Amino acid sequence: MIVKLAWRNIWRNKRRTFITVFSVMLAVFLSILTRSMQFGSYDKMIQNIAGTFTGYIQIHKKGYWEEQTLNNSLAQNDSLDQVIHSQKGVTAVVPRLQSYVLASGTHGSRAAFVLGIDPRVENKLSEPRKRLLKGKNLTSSDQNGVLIAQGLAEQLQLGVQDTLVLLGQGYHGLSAAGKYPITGIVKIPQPDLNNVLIYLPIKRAQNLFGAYNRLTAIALVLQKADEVPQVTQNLRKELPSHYEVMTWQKMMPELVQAIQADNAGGLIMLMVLYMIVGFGILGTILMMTAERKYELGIMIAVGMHRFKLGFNVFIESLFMALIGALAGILISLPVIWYFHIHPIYLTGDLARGIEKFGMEPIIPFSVDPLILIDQAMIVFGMTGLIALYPIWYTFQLKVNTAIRP
Amino acid sequence: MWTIIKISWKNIWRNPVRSSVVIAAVMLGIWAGIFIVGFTNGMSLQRLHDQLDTYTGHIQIHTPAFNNDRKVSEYIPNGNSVLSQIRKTPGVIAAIGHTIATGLASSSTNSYGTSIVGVKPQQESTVLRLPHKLVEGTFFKGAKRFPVVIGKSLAKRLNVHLGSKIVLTFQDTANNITASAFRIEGIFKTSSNTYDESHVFVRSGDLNNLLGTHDLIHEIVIKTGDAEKDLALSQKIQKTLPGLSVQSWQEVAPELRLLDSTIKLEIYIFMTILVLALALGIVNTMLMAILERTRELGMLMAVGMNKKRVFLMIVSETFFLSFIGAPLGIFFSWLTIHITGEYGINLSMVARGLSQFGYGSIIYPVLDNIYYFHIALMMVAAALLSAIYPAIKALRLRPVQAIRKI
Repeated sequence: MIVKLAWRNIWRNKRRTFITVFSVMLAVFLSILTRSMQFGSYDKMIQNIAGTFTGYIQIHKKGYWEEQTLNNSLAQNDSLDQVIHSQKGVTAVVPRLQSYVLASGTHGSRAAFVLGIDPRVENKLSEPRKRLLKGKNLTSSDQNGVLIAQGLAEQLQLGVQDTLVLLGQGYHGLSAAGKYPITGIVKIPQPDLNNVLIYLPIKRAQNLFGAYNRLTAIALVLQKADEVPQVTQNLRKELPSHYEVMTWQKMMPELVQAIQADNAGGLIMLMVLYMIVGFGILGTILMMTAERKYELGIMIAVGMHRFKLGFNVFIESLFMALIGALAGILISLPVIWYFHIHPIYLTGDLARGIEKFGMEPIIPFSVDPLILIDQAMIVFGMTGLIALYPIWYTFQLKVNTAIRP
Repeated sequence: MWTIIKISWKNIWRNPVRSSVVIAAVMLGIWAGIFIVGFTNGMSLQRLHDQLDTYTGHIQIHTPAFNNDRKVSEYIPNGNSVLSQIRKTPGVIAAIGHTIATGLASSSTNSYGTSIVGVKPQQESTVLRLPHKLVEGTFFKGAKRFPVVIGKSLAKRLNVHLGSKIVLTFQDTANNITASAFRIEGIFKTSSNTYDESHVFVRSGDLNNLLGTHDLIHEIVIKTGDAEKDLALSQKIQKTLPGLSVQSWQEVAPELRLLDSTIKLEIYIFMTILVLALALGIVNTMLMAILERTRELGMLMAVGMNKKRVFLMIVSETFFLSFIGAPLGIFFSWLTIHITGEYGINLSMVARGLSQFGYGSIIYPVLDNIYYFHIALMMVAAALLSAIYPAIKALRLRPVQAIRKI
């Protein structure tokens, strides 16, 4: 009965309802917009950093991450492969054997980071194919050739077709030495990697280090970053305990911390936004109540219970909050969807700076449905609190002054 | 006109609660908004300074060839006289020279590529704060032969401890490979694992002995008084040192510059959303006010108040609502930022982990005056826009119908 009455009441004065709904809707819209931008930039950070080099998940021999040496490498075997390939959501399995060496050309030598790769699948993760500047790509995992990062090539003054000599320590202290023709030069967006990275076909790397059939890591490419927990959990269950399954969060705590720090700042900004939109909603509800002073006075005068009346007004506000929240979701959905697909491109100095790091100069938006629901619920809750005011107002209303126009 | 404005002023005080709510919203919104912006700005500036003081310094000088390939043979000619000339340059607070070799650090378990930086222990801390970042041991205070200070994460990778020996392998000026054992005298930890892994510090005397040279300087690191002016100062120094490459931190560490400009962008996005939210709040209140006063406005029009005057009245009411709160908010935020900027906000109680990623635990909010000016401008624009719609709404009222309404 009260619900029905409230529903009819709010449509009695459509414009008033519309204005209140509008203010709730805008509150929801703005907070979704803000949050979508924040989440979008975190997604992009994760994708740029974890999704393009390390991979979302890596499998190592237990203890490798603590002490990253070839001695902690794992042996390739069929049962391991089977378990990994049977996981849902895994789009590529990227084997790697990595270690540090001294790389020499004709002019001096530099410390370098050798990444033994299977060229076919590596193109789904760190994408050497896309980063190629000069020369040709690697095509098979036992090809005699290397891809060398541009910074390192410049430091060693080496070009395509030149010979690169690698010297270092192999598996179980073997000495590792080898020479390879440079097939191509790649530009790695991360500046520190660009100065040290060498891609070597994995069979060659295993030969160089005397680590036959061994890998230091198996990186997994997933369809979506949010499948990480599920896949990790399954792998941990199915793999024997002498392997470690690590997520990007574990492997890159700095990234997680950076996001957390930024998120804390973002939340504070969001609070300020809530405060402002809250005041906006309070303003409209205050006026709505004041405007109905006469009507409320009459209702009490003719014998309606104050509590029932107040509750009625409260339900009305909740209705409007609900409509506003839903409308807010509805209007923000196309907007953030549009910006998700056509992100805002930055220009000028900042854009060039971002491009230098191999990232797109865009303001990304996230379309995570949780953002929509969370923000709509927060604003709805806030409006619910503000809507307690009319209840208090009806309780203290003095009938004799209220019904005198 | 004056009369109309006076009427508007009285109008907004006819419902003091409602007007106060709007005015308070504008004031608090702007106050809190600008303060948060100042806080974020202060925090990131501190981080920037921490990074400059730990890693790059404000300005660096190398030979152009050293920038490309970091070879030992590319030292700065007459390094010491360049250094003393730099120290006399106005704007420079301190300057130090580094001898740098690139090579491998190896222990019995592992080896890792690293820069070997030769420092003069007493001078180092005048420019770089690294000697204060030790977690174990000392910064070249012992009398032992060939001491080395390495990063904590490198120590972990090499599986070595304070007092362990590591072997540093590098090329000398004639491209011969040299190796020598060093004993770990100190272990440092900065907020960057990558830096900790890729830099080891030795005495420049020891390094020069091994290189077979005397007091080579590959890198001059300069500390100045004002990070914002470093670009200009570096260009000025560059003119006095043709043939060398003088780079300010913006060029040495483009990622810091990127961070700096990303935060400025974030600040503007946030301010825009804030002003937008305020403006929409005002629009809504005014629309409500017009709805409530339909009868009154109709009456005014019926007795002969022309459209221009009605428009002006509504517009100035909206302006009053915005411009009582806005200047107050800007003033209070300015005041708060200056006071907290002076004394700092101690966050160590709530955020113990901040120092891990290069933020200090006492934050000094700071904001350039230009930002206050910009937010004021944005507010004026928003107030203008939000005044027009309700005023147009009011103009569209038809007096006859408006009077009849409840």
